[in-house]
Amino acid sequence: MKILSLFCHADAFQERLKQIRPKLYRVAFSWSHNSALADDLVQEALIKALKSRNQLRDEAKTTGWLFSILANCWRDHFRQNRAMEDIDELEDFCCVDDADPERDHAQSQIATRVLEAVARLPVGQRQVLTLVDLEEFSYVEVAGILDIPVGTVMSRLCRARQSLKLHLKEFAPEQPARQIRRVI
Amino acid sequence: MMHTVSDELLNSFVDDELGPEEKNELFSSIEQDDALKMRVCELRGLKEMVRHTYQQHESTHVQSLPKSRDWSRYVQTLAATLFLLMLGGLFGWNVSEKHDASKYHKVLSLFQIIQNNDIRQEPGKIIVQVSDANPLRLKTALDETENLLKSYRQTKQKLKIEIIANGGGLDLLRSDVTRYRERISALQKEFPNLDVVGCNQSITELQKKGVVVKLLPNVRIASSALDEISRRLQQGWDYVRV
Repeated sequence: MKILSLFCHADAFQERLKQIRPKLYRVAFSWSHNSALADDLVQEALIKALKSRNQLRDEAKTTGWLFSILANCWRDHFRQNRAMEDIDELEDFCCVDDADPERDHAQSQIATRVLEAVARLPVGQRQVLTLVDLEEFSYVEVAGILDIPVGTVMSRLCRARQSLKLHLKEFAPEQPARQIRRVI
Repeated sequence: MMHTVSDELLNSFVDDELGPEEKNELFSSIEQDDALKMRVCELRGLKEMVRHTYQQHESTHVQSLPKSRDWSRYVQTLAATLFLLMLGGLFGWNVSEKHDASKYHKVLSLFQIIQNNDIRQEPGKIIVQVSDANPLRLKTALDETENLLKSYRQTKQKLKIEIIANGGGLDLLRSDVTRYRERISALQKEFPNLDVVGCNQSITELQKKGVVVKLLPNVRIASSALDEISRRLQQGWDYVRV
């Protein structure tokens, strides 16, 4: 019976991966702004997950665990391609891709501007912002996924939103007139 | 009432991170302060814009992971898992994990670990993934695969190698791009135990960009690199990414 349940778990695990895959892709894309790279990252993350699934002790934590793997793959990608000695540099690294083909897919002016604004964020801020806004992870969960303190999650999120606000000023709701000045 | 409300606190509020007490306190502050109301409104607007923007971006890849399997495959999977757990360290499984992130030359050591291993009694089965167009990586993949094939032949050990190319690595197999047409063809002739596979998703991706993709002859096409690698892992193959 134990063996049978192991098999069932194996299938359930694969089914879970299948369900989470679009979410992983969405986040990977929001970090990389490159659909091919996002696919590669997700693929790599899923392969690693398949290889090390016996390390997952608590099935309830599968989603967070998968996003941690994805974050590691993204980090590894930078190590490979940017030759950064100190991985902490990643947190402050901006990778604005001027020739971003994904812009072509933007359905609206707002979407295009948001993509541009997010692309300008340092990677560390971008990761926190998208995990919170897209996947609605709690701050504690994000801290676990990215292996950083909760305080860092909060400060990065705060800086990210401040930058976005600056870049998206024209789309923000207009300030109500505080008072009407009478001109005599 | 709160006199100064930090951005961090407001972010926590819009992200539903506050406890009931803090939330209540902030609600009453917002009621009385238009500027604060506006800040909350802006943050919520930003959050919504980000969500809206990225919800439009879905993977173009049709994904599929292996689904149901029959009994024999279940047994194979279990046997393969046990086998890998026992021998994973010896064959560089962990090394592969660690070195995924390192420079390409680290791959050499991984190949060497596999190659130098003389404990294995079963036929070697290795899937080599090439996903990068870097010419050095393409060459390394071929060099090391060839070394491995020759080495196993010399020691009269059985070996199956599969090279799976996806992403930029597909350049290795594209007839109009590759610099290794003759070499791959010669390898395939000399070593029938070498299988060369292209990723259909990567091909589709290129075709969508208007690229006409022609692969070398005798290249098999897999639905996706992920599916192929997953399948091989389940069959007990070792995996190396160049």
